[in-house]
Parts: sequence; structure tokens; C-alpha cells
Amino acid sequence: MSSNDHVDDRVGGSPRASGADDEGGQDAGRPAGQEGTDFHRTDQEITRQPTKSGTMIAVVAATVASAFAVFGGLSAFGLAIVGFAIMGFGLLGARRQLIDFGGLVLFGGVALGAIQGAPVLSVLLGTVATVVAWDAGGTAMSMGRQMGRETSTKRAETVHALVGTAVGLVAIAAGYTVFRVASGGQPTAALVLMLLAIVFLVSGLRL
Amino acid sequence: MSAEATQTEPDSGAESSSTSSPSTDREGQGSTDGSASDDVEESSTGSGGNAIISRTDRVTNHWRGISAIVFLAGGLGVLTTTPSLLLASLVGVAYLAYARIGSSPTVALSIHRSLSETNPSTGDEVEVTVTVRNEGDSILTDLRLIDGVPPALSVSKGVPRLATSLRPGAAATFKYTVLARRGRHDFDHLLAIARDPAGSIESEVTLETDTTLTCTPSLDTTAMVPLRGLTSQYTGRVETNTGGDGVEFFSTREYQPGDNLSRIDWNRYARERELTTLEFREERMATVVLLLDLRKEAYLQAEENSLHAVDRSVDAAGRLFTALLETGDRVGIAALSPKDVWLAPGTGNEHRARARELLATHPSFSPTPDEEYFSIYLRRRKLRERFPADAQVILLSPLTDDAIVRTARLFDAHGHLVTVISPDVTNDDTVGHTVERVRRRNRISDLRKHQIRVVDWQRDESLAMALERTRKRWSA
Repeated sequence: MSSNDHVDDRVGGSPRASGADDEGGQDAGRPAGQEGTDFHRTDQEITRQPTKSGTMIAVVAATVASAFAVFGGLSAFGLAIVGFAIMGFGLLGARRQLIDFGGLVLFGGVALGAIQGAPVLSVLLGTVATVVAWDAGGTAMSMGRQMGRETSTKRAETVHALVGTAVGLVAIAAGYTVFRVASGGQPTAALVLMLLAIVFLVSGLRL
Repeated sequence: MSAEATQTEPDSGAESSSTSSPSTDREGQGSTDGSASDDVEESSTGSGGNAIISRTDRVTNHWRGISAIVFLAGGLGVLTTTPSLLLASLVGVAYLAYARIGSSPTVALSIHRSLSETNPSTGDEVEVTVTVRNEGDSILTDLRLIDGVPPALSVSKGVPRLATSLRPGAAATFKYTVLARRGRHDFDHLLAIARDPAGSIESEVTLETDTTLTCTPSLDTTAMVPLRGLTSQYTGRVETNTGGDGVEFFSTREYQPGDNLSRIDWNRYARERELTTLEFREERMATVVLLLDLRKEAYLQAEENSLHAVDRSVDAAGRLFTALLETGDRVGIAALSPKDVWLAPGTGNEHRARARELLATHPSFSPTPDEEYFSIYLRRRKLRERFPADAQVILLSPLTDDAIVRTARLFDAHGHLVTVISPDVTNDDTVGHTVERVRRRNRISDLRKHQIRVVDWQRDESLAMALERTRKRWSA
């Protein structure tokens, strides 16, 4: 009934984050503008939306991925664009599930292109771009939830995206070299075996 | 993006306010087995950085779902015998390894927090500069810093958070501005969240810092405080409607034996051979009790990041107190609050020091409301027993409900003439707010109808201006 907001609503706790940042969890898809229970209120409202710089990186990477899907034909490109759009909606509405789903559809576009005979390198680069876009989108989500949209997060997110891209490019370099060297004999069988070996290695490492 | 964040290169000066001595042992390495969430509560010293109060490592599940790409690509690749898809699945495997390879980052940070002013006065803007330096020897690629702004202070400019990445020895700075409120405010510890490069493990670390902002209300004098006609028996500055000793001419009366010779009107005696005595307007000392409205209802502010009514009332009380002391009146302080506040009217420097301390440190004057229930009726009765019979009351209240109007009228009716100084906290941005503004104005005219003086203290106006403006109205 009072004409002004009570001050105890405004003068809240200090801004701090706590609690698990379970990005794949249920609370990741929290509606826009709503605050998590694990964050104290502050007098200056924190906009818990995906960060601008993270969204930017995700959009750029998704554009690159869609561009590589063109090599696989128009249908592949169309599917990639659909994935791009879904991811975009996920970022706008701060919905982690949509970002995940969009990333999967985007990769579906790249995969469709591969089946339709896109060049190997474009498929690999498209895959890396997809992963980077999905990774940047997820980081933008978690960063936005912890730090808020107002916070300057460019440096952290750029470094994160660059490291992620570098990992992908190194993987491409290694995989593509092996593919070139081994493609004389039976490429598919050799690759399947190599794939299996690496999967076992990774799960065996249990890092 | 108003937060100014700057990066400085390593070796740009080694000065820091690290509260711990550098030690070589590396603590809080954290577990790397990737279990769901292991809380490591420890009170340890990081190497060369600020002391770590608590540390929590947890798995973020950031890369959950990357295996979908591996299996989708691998499965489709095998089914359609497409080598490029198999290679794409290899890329996915590489990311899977990347996500798993990380270990919880070692957070050793030195924090330097400086305030542009450590002793501001109420309402001042204080710039807070936080510099965080990576004192460890590993790169922190994803470092999220959240500063512990004291609960009562509001951030008016900038953002008290920063996400950055720091090489060993590099430092990052962020700045923000807080609005100073009365009281002692300890900055909370700085919270740092560091993630490994892949972002699959994050370490939440609370780092010890030690910064305090103390804001004591200014006891600057303001303009003359207009008082009402209720006075004590002692000589002072309040002009009364009785004749006697004084400066200003009041009246003449018939001579009575014993009258001072200097007060006999000799001119008239020369003219008419009649002895008359001149009377001057008596100037008396007043006893004033400053009564502050510290109920929950008074903790209102017009807009975000502005001072609330209690802040302004306490500030005004400090000024009025000094002004009244300087004009030789006896001043006391009382409050309508859950906790008892009472400073009996008095004079002198010691009294002034007591008032200053009371306003700065008494918990009832805290910038956040006291939620405890109290009966305004009982408080009123208790205050009336305490008030000296000749005390007049200056009530400082935003007048946001009717109970306070009744209180003012009751004190007035019991002979303690009341002046209300009401900081205006209403605005008209919504219909509801406009209704409240009108209701407050009605309360003011209601009080004025009952011969209670009200100073409507606007938001953009100094107290002296408000008093001066209202004084004109009273003398007219």
C-alpha cells in the first residue's frame, strides 16, 4: 500500500554466488529475469541473462558453422540455419535446453552435409565451429547467471572461446593428417578402429 | 557497460595489500577425481595471496552433451560409411578429453581494495577500486570476481563484479561507486570463482579482505531552527509574548516599586510627571526533543540509489541538534523505534559528543530497518513520561501513515508543541505512487489544520532551504 518500495527489498545482501552451477540441470532453463534462489538480492538488480560478449561469440561461431554446412548442399544449410535459429532463441530467452538442442540441430546440418558428400575439411571445421558456438552459449548462460549481463566479461569469455577453438583445430590437424596418411587402404575401417581406440583411451584415463 | 575494467601487465609494481606472508606450500589444490561436488572448507593461506576463508570445488557439467556429438557423428559415420563424419566424431572425442583433462585451478590472488574516501558524509559517492593480482604460477583463464559490497550500501555507478582471465603476475582492476550511508560498513570478503580452461571444474573461493567505510553524520550547523513559543524559564533566544528583560520593545506599564531605574521611561516622566516602566520582549531558552520516526514504515526511498527517509531524518537531526545547541537551547533525542533511544535534553560540548555518538552508533539508527515489533502506543506513553513539561517536539518523519499523524497531534495536545520536519519520499511515476503522494499531502494539511507546523522537506532541497522556505510561510 505504500507509495514506495520498502527499503528492505532494495537493500539486500551483498552480491555473491553460491550453490552448484549445474548447467545441465533443471534450473538452467529458468525464465528470463527471474533470480535464482541461490543468489542474494542486491540493491542494484542483476540482470541474469546470457552475457553480451558470450552471445556474440556464439552467434559468430554458429554463423561460421552454418557457412561450412553450405558445402553439403542446400538441405544441410537449411537444417543448420534452423539449429542456428533455435540456439538464438535459447540465448534470447536464457533457455539452456534450447541452446543444447540448437547446437545438436546445427551439428545435424553439418552431418547431413557430410553424408551428402561435403569436403572432409569443411565438415571438420563446421563441427569445431558448432562446438565452439554451443560452448560459448553455455558459458554465456552460466556467466550471466553468476555475474549478470552488466558485468564486463569479454576477456574471460574470449579466452575461453579461443582455447576451445585451439583444441578443436589441433584435433582437426591430428585427425586430418592420419586420414590423409591412412586413406590409401581401407579408410573407413581404419578410422572406426582408431575411433574406438581413442574412446577407450579417454574413458580409460578417467581423468 | 559502465564498469571500468583494466588489465595491467605483470611486473607493474609488486605492491599489494596481501594480508598473509608468502609461503611456498600450495594448499587447496582440490581434488581432481571429478566427483560430484566436494566441499573443502579450510582456513588456509594461499601462496602469496590473500587468505582463503572457504573453498568449494565442484563439477560444472558444462560439457555434458558433447558425447552426443561423438555418438551421433560416429554412428552416422559407420552407418553411411562417411569418413568425414568419423573424423568429426574424433573432434568430439578430443573435446571430451579436453573437458576431462582439467583440474581445479589454484587460486592465489592478492586483493587491493581502496576507497576514494574512507570517512565520507551521508549521501557522498565513494568510488571503490578493486585490484586483483594473480599471485599463483598458473594461468587463471576464467576468473569471476564478485565483490562483497556491504548490505546497507547501494551501488550507484558501475558493477561490483568482473570476469577476466589472468596470467601469473597480471592484475585486473574494476571500479564502482557506492552511495555512503551513515554507520560503519565492513566490506564483505571477495568471492572468486575460477574455472579450468575447459570450464568443467570450478573453484569457488572466498578471499579475506579488510576494508571499512565509516560514515558519521555531520553535525554541521544549518540555518536557524524555527521554534515555537513553548519555553523554559531561562533566558534564551526564543521571543515570547511576555514582557520583561530583553532587547525588543514590548509595552509600557505603570511603575511598581522595585522596578529597575534604568527601565523607567524618563522621557515620559519629564513630559507628564508619571512614572512608567518599559517592558521588553522576553527571550527565553527552549527545551527541544528531536523525535525521530524509525519505524519500518519510515524506511522508504523515492527511487533506487537515493537516500531513504531515515537517512535524511538522522542527518537532519544531527544538524538541528548542533544548531539548537549553538543558539543556547536544550536539546534531546528520542525515537519511535523498537529499541529504546533517549538522550535527555541538555547543553554543552559533552552533550554534543554524546549525541554524535548516539546518532552514529545506536543500532536503531541503522540504515536497515529493525523488524522487531513494538507498540507505538506504549512507546508514546513512555516518551511522554520522560519529556520535560516545557519540552517542545521536533518530529522527523516522512509521514507515510496515519499513526504518526496521531502521534504528532497527541504530543501537541499534551502541551509539547510539535513541529514536523517531513522528508518527502513520494514520487508520481505510477498511479499508486501518486495516490500515496496525495495522501501524504492530506496528512500535512491535516496537521496544519491542527496548528502543528510542518516543514515539507523536498528531495532536491537542503534542510536549510526547506526551513527558510517554510519560515516565510509562518511569518506571513
